[in-house]
Amino acid sequence: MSDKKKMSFEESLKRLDTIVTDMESGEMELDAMIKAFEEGQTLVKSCNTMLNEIDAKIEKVVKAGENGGETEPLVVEQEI
Amino acid sequence: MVSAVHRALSITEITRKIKQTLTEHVGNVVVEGEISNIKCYSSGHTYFVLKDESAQLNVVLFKSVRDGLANVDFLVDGQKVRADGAISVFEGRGQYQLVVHKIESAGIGDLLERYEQLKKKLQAEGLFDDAHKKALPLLPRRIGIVTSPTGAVIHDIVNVLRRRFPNMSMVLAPVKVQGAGAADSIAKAIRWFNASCGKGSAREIDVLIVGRGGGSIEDLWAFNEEIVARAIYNSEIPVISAVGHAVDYTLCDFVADLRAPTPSAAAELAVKSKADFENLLCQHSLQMERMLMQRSEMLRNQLHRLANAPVLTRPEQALARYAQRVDHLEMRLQHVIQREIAQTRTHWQQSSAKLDFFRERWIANLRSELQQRFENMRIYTINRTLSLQKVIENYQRQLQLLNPLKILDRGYSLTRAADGSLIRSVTDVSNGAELLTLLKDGTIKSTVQNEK
Repeated sequence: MSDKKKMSFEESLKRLDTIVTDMESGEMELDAMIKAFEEGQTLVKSCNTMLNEIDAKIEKVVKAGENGGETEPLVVEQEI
Repeated sequence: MVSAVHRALSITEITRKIKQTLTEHVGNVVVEGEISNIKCYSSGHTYFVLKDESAQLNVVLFKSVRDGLANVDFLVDGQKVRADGAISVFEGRGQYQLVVHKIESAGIGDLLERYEQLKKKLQAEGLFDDAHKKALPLLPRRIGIVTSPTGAVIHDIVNVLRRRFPNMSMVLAPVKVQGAGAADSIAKAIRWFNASCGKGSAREIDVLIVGRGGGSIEDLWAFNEEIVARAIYNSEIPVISAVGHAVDYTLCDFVADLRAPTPSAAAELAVKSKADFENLLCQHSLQMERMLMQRSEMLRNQLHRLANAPVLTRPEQALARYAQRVDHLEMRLQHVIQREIAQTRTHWQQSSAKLDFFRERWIANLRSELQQRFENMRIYTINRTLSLQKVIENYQRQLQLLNPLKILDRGYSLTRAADGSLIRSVTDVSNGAELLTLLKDGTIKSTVQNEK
């Protein structure tokens, strides 16, 4: 498997949509379908990973320096 | 000059002194403040208080001045005004007051005009152009928020985001959202996000939400300032603007890449719910499985059908069919040949009959033609003969008329010598010659006796 550049979430989703549409068209050879299925499942997995990769930090800027700055956690009461 | 006994001033006297001092040393002024407690009496005169954060001033607007105003709609509580007048003292109440000569609105009307002018200017520069607006990322990884750290706005945004996408990352840059320095504070925050959280940075921000809660036009004014509009225009990070209520439109709303009617709506526009994404991925996954299964099922059935085809299980049947086809074709061929032969024969017969018919007719034609010619020739010959006969008869008649022997009928005679030559003159004869004289009815033989 070649080392491809990591696709963005949007690109992955687009590619996945294309794969599903092609498979639905009923005009794919079985070999092609199996390959597409494998690619599709890989994409689903990587998309799900990207969704969960986002780290749930809620921060507030306390010092806005030129390079970066300092932040501290922002506490906001959760809705019930 | 202090006298032994200080005469006390009367109230009128002291009040007059105060009035004098104020009139001389303060006199005509121009002030700005907010109207409060405005009341108009039946006399036509209007009384109100102008105030700011820490002081207030009584004001009187006489009927004569009020009647001279083109517009009095702005004379309401809460309205900021600019008033020209003279400070004086109303002795009766011991009250200093401003007697107004000229008064105009310094509040909303003024602001609205500034808003319209700035809007025109920025629009002409192309700050509102659709072509410049950036698309929002489908899945932001970190959302930047520029708003007040207190109040319902940050609350709503964070809660909506948390609900839609529990593990979404956010950074709040707290700012002043109204009053002095608010515009600078907001612009600075937007610039900071761009400088420190741009593409490739450790804390990369994918989309900004800039906004505040509802309020009056003065409250929202910071978001109409040029410095904020330009900061949003120059932001490389896409900006969603959420200022005030749904009906409020600030210049930020026009410059931003997307406008949300409320802060909660902004949070919804910033990212789809995680659950929606997960559902979509799940659906795709299931659909792929289903399609693959369908296809393999279909192919399996096809294979099964084909494997059980009689052509494969009982090939001799197929061959038998072919043999039968060949026989059938042979039969058809024979039929065709026979039919061809029959047709040809008939054709030939027909042609032959036609030929005979034409030959007979041709001969008949020739025969009749021949007869016709014979007939013609016969007629011609007869006619010719008749005409020749006539000609001969003519000649005959002519000959007869010219017949020299006819003369004999008239009594003349012809005399010939013995040799047959005609005697025409006496010299032709000599004595004793034999002569033959031809008369009409015979000849006389004679001898010459004496010629003369």
